[in-house]
Amino acid sequence: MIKRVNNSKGFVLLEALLAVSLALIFLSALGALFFINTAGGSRIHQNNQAGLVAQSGLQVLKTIAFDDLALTSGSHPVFSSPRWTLVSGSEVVNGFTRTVRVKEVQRDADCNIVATGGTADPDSKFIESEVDWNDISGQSHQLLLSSLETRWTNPQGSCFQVSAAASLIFHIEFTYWYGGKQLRELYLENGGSVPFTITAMTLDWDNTNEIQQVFLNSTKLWSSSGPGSPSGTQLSGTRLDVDDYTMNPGDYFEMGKTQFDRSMGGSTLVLSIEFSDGSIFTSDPFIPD
Amino acid sequence: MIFRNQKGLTLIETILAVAILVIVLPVLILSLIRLNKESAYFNVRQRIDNSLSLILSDLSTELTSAQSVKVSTSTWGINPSIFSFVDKNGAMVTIDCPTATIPLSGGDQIIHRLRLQRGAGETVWLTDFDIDVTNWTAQVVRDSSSDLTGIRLQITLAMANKNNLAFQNADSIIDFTIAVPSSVQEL
Repeated sequence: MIKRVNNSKGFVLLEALLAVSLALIFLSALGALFFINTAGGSRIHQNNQAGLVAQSGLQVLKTIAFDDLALTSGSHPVFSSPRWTLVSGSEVVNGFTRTVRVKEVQRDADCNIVATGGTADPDSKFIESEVDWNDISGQSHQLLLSSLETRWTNPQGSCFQVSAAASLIFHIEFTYWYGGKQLRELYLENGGSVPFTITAMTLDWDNTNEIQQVFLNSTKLWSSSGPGSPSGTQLSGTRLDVDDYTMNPGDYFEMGKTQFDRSMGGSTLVLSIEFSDGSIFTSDPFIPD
Repeated sequence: MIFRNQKGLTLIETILAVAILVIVLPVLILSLIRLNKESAYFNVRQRIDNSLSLILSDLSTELTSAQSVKVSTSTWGINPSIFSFVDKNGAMVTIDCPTATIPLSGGDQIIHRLRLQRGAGETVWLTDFDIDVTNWTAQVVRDSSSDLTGIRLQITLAMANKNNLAFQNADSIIDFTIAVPSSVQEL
């Protein structure tokens, strides 16, 4: 006996609900995709804008002279043609909150930047541009750009001072031997922005002749009978402790009358000069005419 | 034993199902249409953002390596400005913002486009044909010693929109300063 129950009332309702549910799921998924795409597009747009606003804040700080960059924990730039200045407090730019800061830079004894425990470098400042905003879902975001500004062209502290050795310009283009023994047309120039002081010299040459005297700008810095030490004529490679001699920026002096006991024609020379700041300049080998 | 009990119920169920669909579908479809329009809007906006970023990036690169800024021959502080400088290779570069007639499906539209001329070479459009530069104002920036230290650019890009389509009402406004190094001279 076949028992056949055909009561499809519930099944048809279930099928209809299923169909509707499936349709809802698919359409919702589609909607979610669009929403994600839209939200993503919005976030990308906001990120782009935030980047430009932050970058512009940093660039504005770079247009302000170093001496005018006063330390600030939160300011915003104001333009009064043709100059940007900083005013306390944040600002809102295109819906983004922008804050710029100027912070001190600490350095250790070796002039390396340290977070704490160093001394404030008068020639360096950190500049920052921070942008804060909320995206369309209300989530907060922050972008912080920072850079280091330095007054390296006119340093007040010690970390950016150019060493005396680096300031020396050595001119050997027209150097020659006068009478075979006396060095002529060898010039030293202070190409820096601050004075330097010469404290010692060492001349190397490739024979057994001995040096008798060293002059600079017609001033005797060392000779076998003084000033300076050691006394007596000296062989190649002897360190000559000369009378200290200061050259100002732009000074251009000849080491004329620097003299040897015998003919030096054809000799190859190397000159090392020591300065009061501890730096040492060593020339390339040169052969006077 | 056979039960057949389908009388009227299938019709009610069908009507119910259709009713649910009638209620839900328009909401969903309208939402999808709105989202689609927003997506189109963001796509348009993305194009404007990309244009703006490219222009500022190129100009920053050019200006930081330039030989000089031609302050005397540029026109500053007005819209549209004319901005001239000598690039790293010694070529004169001029950026201006003339009007241009653009044929669009809704009819011709007169817009402003950013234009770059380098030396005697051909002019190059910096903005797309359907993007209107409604503001191009350049200003000189100086420090307290009156030395040239930067160029301030105020730019507004808007999508050309002859058909007045809502999703095309996109624009982007930026006030951007480019710091120039001291090696860049002022002429």
